[in-house]
Amino acid sequence: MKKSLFKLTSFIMAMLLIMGLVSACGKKEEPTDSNKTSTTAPKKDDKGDSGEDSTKDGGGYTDYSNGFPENVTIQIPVYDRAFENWDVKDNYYTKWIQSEFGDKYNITVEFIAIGRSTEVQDYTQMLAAGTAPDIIFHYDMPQALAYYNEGATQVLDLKEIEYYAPTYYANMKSTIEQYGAVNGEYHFFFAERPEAYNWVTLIRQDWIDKVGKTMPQNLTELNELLKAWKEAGLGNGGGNLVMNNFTYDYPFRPWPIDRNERALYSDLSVAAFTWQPTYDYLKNLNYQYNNGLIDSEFYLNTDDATTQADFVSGNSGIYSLYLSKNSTVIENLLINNPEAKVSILDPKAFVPEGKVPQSRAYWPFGMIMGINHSTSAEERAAVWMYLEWMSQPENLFFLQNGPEGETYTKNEVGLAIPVAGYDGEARLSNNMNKDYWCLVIESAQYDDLQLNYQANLNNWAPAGYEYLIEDAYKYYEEYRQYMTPDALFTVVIESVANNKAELNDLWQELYVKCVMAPEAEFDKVYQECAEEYLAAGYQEILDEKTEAIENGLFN
Amino acid sequence: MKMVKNDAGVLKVRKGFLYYIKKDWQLYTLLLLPILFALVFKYGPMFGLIISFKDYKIIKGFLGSKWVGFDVFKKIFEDKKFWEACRNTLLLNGLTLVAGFPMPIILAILLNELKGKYFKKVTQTVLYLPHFLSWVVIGALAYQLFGYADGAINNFIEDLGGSRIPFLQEDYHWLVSYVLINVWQTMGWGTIIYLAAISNVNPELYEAATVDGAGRFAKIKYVTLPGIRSTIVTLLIMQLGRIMGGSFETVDALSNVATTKFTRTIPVLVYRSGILNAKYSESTAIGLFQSVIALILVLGTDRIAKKLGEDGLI
Amino acid sequence: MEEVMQSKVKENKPGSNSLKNRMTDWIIKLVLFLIALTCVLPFVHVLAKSLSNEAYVIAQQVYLYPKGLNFEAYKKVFSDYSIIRSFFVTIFVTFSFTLTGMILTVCAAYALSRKHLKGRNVITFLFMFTLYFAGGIIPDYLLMNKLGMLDTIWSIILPLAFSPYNLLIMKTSFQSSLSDSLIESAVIDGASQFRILRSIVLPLSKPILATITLFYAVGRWNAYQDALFYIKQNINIRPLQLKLYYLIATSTEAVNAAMEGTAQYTNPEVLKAACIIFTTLPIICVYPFIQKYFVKGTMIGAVKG
Repeated sequence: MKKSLFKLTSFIMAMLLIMGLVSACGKKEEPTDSNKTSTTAPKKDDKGDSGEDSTKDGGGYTDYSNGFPENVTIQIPVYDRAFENWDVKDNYYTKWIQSEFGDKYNITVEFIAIGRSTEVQDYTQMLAAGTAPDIIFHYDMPQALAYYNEGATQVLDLKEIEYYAPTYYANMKSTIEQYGAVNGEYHFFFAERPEAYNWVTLIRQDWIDKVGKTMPQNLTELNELLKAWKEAGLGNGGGNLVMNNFTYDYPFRPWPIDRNERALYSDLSVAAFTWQPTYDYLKNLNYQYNNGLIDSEFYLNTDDATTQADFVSGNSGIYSLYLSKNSTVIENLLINNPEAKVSILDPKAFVPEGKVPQSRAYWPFGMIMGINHSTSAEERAAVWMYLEWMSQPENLFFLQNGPEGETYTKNEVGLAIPVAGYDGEARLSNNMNKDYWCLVIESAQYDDLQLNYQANLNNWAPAGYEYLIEDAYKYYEEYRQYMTPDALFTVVIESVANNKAELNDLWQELYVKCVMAPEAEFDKVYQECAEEYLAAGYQEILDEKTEAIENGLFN
Repeated sequence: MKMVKNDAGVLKVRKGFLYYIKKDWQLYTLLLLPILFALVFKYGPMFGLIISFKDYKIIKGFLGSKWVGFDVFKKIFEDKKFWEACRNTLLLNGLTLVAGFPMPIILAILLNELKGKYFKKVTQTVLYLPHFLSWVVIGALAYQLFGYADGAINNFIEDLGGSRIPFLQEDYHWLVSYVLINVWQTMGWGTIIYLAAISNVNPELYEAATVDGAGRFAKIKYVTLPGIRSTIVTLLIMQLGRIMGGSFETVDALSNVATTKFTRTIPVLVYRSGILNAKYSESTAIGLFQSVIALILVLGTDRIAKKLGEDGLI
Repeated sequence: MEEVMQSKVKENKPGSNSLKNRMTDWIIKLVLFLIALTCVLPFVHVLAKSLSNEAYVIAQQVYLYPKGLNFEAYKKVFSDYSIIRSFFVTIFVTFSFTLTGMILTVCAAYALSRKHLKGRNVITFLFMFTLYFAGGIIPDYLLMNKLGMLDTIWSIILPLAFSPYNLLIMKTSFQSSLSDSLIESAVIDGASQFRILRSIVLPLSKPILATITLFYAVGRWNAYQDALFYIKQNINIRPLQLKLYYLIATSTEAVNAAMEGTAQYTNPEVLKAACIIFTTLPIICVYPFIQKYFVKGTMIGAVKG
């Protein structure tokens, strides 16, 4: 028995060793990318320069405007959302891009499909295999930083971007300078994000009318309204599980804002459990829960389908969503409740008396991008040229709308109206080719403000409900003065990256526990939960951030 | 050729390696392709387990990442949540095994007793339908039916005058519901292998039993069960090996954030650190831990089975 | 054996036997019927959803019968060419996968069931080892990349074709149901192992062969995780379950989708239900056809003494 066991073990070891060598050899091993932790000011000068915004005319950069001497292939990532009958790698528009851009400069543009719901895994696998595209992208900063931490991105030279992509750089210069640096080097560039105000909260206007009230102007009035609804047997105020994107506490924050305090606590990816606004928010939620004002099973509403179910079936009277012209929620609501009427809930209704309707200002950028660490200098130049080409208004407009007269017509004010039911060769993707032009801008824009507003109405309002977007816009303009952007640290806060997933899970458990506790015990339960939260890694985060703030490493 | 004493103390000729290959070359040939598949597709990637001992960074790759020895494991074992996950995993899987292992056997025997061919065929097919439902669907359905405030079953109970039951929203209730739903999902499919095994039992044995005056129950006890014993033992050993494993989906589909006492399991940890958190070293290390436990369990139960007279797995 | 039987079995009078038997028959039928009911109702529910108006499905008002009956979702399924193509891809893949798997498994199971085979324990252990130890998704992906199998149909046919789980089950079955004396007499008669496998083992093992075939086929039909990672750029070879996954994934992303301006041209909830029915129905229908192989008495007369 012992002998065969020995034979067995040695056999296994041998096999593992052989297999390991076989699979490891031939694999390109990159030398470690520098993960510098210096905190010097971001470099603005390039290699051969004296550090001034000096004149540049090809000093150090090769001019490829007549094309590359040898064909260069660039691999551009594009989200694959599995739209029916749509091949993201090969369609009318990829061909158009190749002929209008690629052929002109002797560049082959290859599109690499990235699954929208599996993008991090896709990127990880491709990076491990060395087959990742030339652009590494993501919508969220924490994940983009994670890519940076893995060594996936290379250092950028802003002057180079300016040289090859002047239009693009003119649009994005301030954004890149402000947000693109990590640990003293530039790694990220961005797509523009125009203003959007289609995140709306719908409320059952017919229920408000039925209990003889008016649109609530603050939290107290909202709670009274909900109580009236409950007494009239109409329904509750909805509710869902807050899982990420932590913006719940904005209505409870003090105004004006203390810059340092905001930098310390306000974080989209980690809930500020121990902060006073969170305490106030939870206390209110606890009150609402214990008095039956919100959905007693709000924590089961973990995705849009379950939250929408409550609203559409008539159980709840409040529901938030990104409204678009194809949203079916109102239609579904009417089928189940023919007498329903909806309005936009004034954002003021969530604000306790004495505070102002604060909200988070969006980053000025949409897509966050980095250049693959293994991309060569020529490929990189070609990428900049691609961005430059796409930033030209006529190219962008074509990608967003298609050929004029075929896929759209311009109405009398110059707005592009899509031809209904067009099914020809030049068909755009289900999201208007967004996944191609999202590299430069997040939504379609017109230069003329009025035209832009009209276009937004068309895109965001379901037919017959333009008033919803109009109201949303009205509130947006009114409360714009209270929108503040998150602080962005110029160093990577390691403890956030390490702890955020854990803390997110813990947040969900703890906050639900606090909300569901009896009112008399709320303070006690909150204290216990706060301690647990701190011990699980939040204290670490606070400490690291405090140090960074004291050294002024944020903006 | 050597001369050695074998176990009985008799002098025998010890045959060399080549002798056996020559004798059974056909059997070894049959094994060639399977072994090749196993080597390439299973043992090849196993090299990746090495990142359990490294601080894995994607770009540095498997070889380039820094070696950290047992640091990753230390970090995992020091985390209180890990041991809670172990306890939960064993609890959930253990209970599911106890409740769920006999069910397919019982069902298979019951089905076997059926006379009507049509009823038998239809019932069999219907029984394994749950196997085809994805857990996402089962989870959504479970809450629609068993939800405390609004579930159809609870509405029905209340209509009858009873009080609502928090099937999925109280820790111990959740535990029972979880086990029952799991058993429900797997039992029908499990009957297939037992039905196949039952049909392998020599009918002459049944005839002999009838002659001896055995009733239906006795026949089951003395003919059917012993006849499928080896299948039962094999499946039992393999399932015991999985007691530290399980899938992430089944727990995730049925859990909610208000009822968390038993819902953090090892597969959930692996999913969170591996997929959500991109901590690949950690998730691989936890996976390695699971694998080692599984191996020990399988070898152990196999030993026990052999001692009890079974053929065992190996 | 017979002595044991006689001493342990009670005497039964013939008359009471049949009444008792009939009653137990009915009880068994009832129990099975109730259990079967719980198993079929979820499907009835999904079927009802697939034939209902979206509004009622979203409001979770649909339980066991359709509300607002319409066939929109099925029309969409059958008119979407990519779904139809996925269907045929899946059929091809399932067939090839099952064939490959069965050949490998039968060969290995038979060889390893022969007790006199030297190294049998070691090899069985090596196979079993792979049941519990695996490298992870990244090493698997790297292997596929190195073998050039990414985005090819082979990536979902070959790697998982040989299942150690199925192997062990089949090996156990061979060991317990094939009599050694039968095989030995064939060897003495001069038959090669290949011949024995083909002419003796296979015909006598119909139930287990049918079972494992079913396991392979259903396993391949239902699984999509490997296709999710390996088939990215070549959408023509997406299998059916993967298509269904994408449909569900994109529809649960509705919030993000609307934010990013994705117009929803499909009715996700109802379409989901229709796709579930569409992907499940074919494979469910396979079992009744192979039930005929679960025939008793395959060993009659084969063994003497």
